[in-house]
Amino acid sequence: MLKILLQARLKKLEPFWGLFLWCLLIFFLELVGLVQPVKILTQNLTKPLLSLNTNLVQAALTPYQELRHSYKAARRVQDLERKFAEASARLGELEQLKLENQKLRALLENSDRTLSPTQISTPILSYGQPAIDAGSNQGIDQFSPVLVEKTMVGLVSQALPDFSYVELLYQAKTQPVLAQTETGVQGLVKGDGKRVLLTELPADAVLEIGQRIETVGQKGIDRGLLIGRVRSIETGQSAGVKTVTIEQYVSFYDAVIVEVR
Amino acid sequence: MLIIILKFLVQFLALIFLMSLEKVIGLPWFSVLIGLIWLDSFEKKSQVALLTLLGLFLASIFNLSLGLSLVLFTIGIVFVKLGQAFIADKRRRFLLASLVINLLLLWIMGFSLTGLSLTQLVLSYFLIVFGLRIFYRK
Repeated sequence: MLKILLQARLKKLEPFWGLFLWCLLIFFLELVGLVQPVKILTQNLTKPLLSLNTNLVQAALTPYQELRHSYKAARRVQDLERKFAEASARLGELEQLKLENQKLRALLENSDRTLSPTQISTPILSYGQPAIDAGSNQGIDQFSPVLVEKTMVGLVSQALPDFSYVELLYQAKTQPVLAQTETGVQGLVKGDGKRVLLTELPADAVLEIGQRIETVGQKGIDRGLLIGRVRSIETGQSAGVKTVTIEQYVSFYDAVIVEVR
Repeated sequence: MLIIILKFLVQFLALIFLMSLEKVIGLPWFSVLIGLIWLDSFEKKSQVALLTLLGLFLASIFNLSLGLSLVLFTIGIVFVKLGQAFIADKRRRFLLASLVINLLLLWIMGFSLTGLSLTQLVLSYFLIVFGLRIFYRK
């Protein structure tokens, strides 16, 4: 009885054996690498549609974002005024350092060539699975930092030929980044799915709300990239380490264009 | 003949546009269902070519394996056509196939189930049920 039932079922599937065999053939072609060029061509063809849809989504979300930002506007204005005052104070010092640097470089190299790393500006292609419109063909490597308005928001997780996927710092699976506060306290920047955290800080570390957090420098990530500021400080349950929640004043989802270094 | 070709092109472009929109905002909840309905409406002989084309664009937009995309759609369309023994109502079979494919895509692409994706799921469920009631009478 079971045999008859099985035979009846298999007979029903006969028209679809061709489809299943086709799938097996495609799997084999993919294994030997013959499908990849076709897929890359199709990805290039679909990029204009992705860009168009990103612009549409951005236009649709703008009123909601404006409303959300205006709600926190008063606090942001106070914070910006404080930061402007600090930045103004540092400006004179930085101008002086820049002049000295240029003179030294001229003496050493006899050239005015800048040593700053290559920066690539690229529009965003997708928000649901963060992606940008530049890949290995444009010089982007895996784990390159992604910046919005000079603030590091994530890392390139996969660099395809013409576009790349980005993992944002708040995501739990993003690779940790070595960072330090203004006072030199070093830790690891990780995400817990909702917040960007600076972890593994000594319990006796001196920390203050509002301190800048920048990258220390590691393979593929330059030193001195701004990540954010200290928003809150938590002591671990064992009281052996401290964890800092980092406030980032920019968001990948609010940006139209990002920088990759 | 020209009208048929144009109609096919418009349908296909609309599907790709929908797929890319859903890529921007999240998972392809709606476009997988529309893709299954679209495949089901064509004759058996053309299904191989159409399946490959559809799978190729899904795989390209979401950066998946092409073979995997084809297998997902093939199993989906086979279940829709032959699954009367499990679920009699064809519309429910479409809905179930679409839901399972999307859950698998969620797992494969490593999406986390956030408030935004849950909202998309609920909204898409209403759109799918509403759309099927209006546009699909079989």
